[in-house]
Amino acid sequence: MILFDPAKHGPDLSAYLDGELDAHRAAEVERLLAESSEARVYLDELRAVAGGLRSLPRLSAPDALRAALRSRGATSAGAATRRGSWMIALRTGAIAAALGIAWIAGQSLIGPVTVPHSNVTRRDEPLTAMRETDEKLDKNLKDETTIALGIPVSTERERNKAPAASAAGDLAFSSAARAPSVAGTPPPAEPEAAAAGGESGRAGGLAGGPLADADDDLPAGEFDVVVNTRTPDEFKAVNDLLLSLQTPHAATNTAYVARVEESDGGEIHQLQLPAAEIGSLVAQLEGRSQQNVLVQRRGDAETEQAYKSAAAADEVTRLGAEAAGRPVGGDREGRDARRQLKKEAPPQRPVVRKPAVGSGGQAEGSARDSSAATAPAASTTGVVQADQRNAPDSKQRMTNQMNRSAGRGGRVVFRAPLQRQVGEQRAAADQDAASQPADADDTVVVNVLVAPPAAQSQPASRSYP
Amino acid sequence: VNRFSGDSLPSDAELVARTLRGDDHAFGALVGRYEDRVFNMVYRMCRNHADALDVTQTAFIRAHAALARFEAKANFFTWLYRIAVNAAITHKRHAASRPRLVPTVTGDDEGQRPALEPAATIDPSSDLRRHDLSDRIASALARVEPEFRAAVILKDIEELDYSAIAEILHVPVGTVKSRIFRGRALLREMLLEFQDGAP
Repeated sequence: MILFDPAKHGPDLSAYLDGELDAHRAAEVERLLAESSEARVYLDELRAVAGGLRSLPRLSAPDALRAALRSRGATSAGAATRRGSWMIALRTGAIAAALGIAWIAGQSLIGPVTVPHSNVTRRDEPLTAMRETDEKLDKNLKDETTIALGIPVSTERERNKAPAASAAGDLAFSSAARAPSVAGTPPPAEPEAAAAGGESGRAGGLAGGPLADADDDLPAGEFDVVVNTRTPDEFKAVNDLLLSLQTPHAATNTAYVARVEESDGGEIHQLQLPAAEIGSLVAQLEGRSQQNVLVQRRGDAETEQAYKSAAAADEVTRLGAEAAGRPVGGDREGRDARRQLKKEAPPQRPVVRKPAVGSGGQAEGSARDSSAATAPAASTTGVVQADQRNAPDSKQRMTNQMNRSAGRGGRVVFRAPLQRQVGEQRAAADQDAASQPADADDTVVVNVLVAPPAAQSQPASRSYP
Repeated sequence: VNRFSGDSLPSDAELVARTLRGDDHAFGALVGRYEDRVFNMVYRMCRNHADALDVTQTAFIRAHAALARFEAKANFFTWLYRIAVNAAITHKRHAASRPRLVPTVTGDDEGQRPALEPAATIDPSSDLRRHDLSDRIASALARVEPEFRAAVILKDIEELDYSAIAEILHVPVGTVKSRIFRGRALLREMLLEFQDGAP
């Protein structure tokens, strides 16, 4: 007579149920079952559990996910331009900054996807940044069962040598872009069309050529927006607004790129939108944050300007158009001239350095103090400030915030991209911009930091007026 | 082989090789081949629709990023599953370590269970019991430790054999056997408790 002990015999019973025992062990289990009614009952219960699990409904990937994945894998033909890689480089830089990672390899992944019946050419998410983020987070949490998926950091020089965006996007980009990750392995041959680059690359639907060549088609620009919220409701309202931009929106023709959740409650959203729409976005943010918005355009010292709420929307609209190289009035020649200038003297890209271990707090604190010292003393409602002093102030704040996010394990949340079209009804703030047909090329990247109310009670840099 | 056209579909290994050669569509084909299974498995791991979306997308992106290091002798499917399981476990750890601050667009659907299949029987009470049992099992599964849950899901939902599960979880087969048993035993206890407490 064999006494049934679940702890002892259970694993074999379970494996017997699955047909995973060898003949000898299976015979032992059958002998046990023949002698022990308890074992038989136990086996039946395990079988019921397994059967219950098998009976759970099988889910299919939602259409949104399917569309997102498929669009990147299959809509590349004829859609990519080299400019896409440039845009990705910008957005990647922003998210990389959010994580304290500066310029990591493989930035040129995604080509733009032309939306039928839309006047917007929308690019997908900065997946390079997502990988960087995941790798960083995974590294922190890596255990024995976590496989390493890190992408080696390449130098900017290496990155520039890598082929630019594959038209297929994140799920089907050229293997050559990953070449640096395979030590000692020569990069595979580039696709012919990709190697051709230039106009031929466009015609063939494949983005090609080194990144440097893409500078002849510069991206519109990049903005940092800081929204201070004072109550939880306000914080939620602002975040909800930004999240709502993932869905077709009549007033703002935007493309949502990424959201970074911060452990201390802040949120960083990244959007790509037509330059003409940035004013509308800022106006809406102002409306939900008691006019407590600061906008800063990234770029060189001459172009960097900070605009503080309220009623900065109109000025920012103009700024957005200007950033796109399209002066108000749609002067194409001026835009070309601006591009030429940028090509000859590319703007200094912001470099985010993580605080050294052990001194980060002090360094950050110093930055905060400095930031606080230069911050305007009071809000000037209704007046647009273009004070140069605000530029480094704002930049430092964003950098600090991003560094803190990285240090605390903030994560980047990507959403399935949704195509959207400009609605017939635009917000009043968009009327001027709408009268100038939006050029699909005139898009800007906007990084929006939503500072929570609680954090403003701390001596953080975001507690400016 | 495509049963309808008779055409041979490319193998996973072939699609991987084509992806590595720069074929823009090859990885898309791999995605199409496995997106449903990966999503289903991830959903059972996360039991949250929005999280499952994130994790599934992350898994495919990671897979593509690491494809150059994928060994051709390995099974792409198990390799992809391994990435997805790890992403799901990591995701849950992150979620547990900090509060979720902003409601996702699709919403946290702990209470929004996926649509069940249409009633297949003419006995409403039987159908209700079946759905109720499914809910209980899904709810209990969510309370099992991730390591055991992953093993049980891969075995009883994905119906993989022990060796494949061992490869996915990167543990010996003996560990797989133990984890599956422990996962099932925990589910058994929870379901028995529920049954005892049920009116």
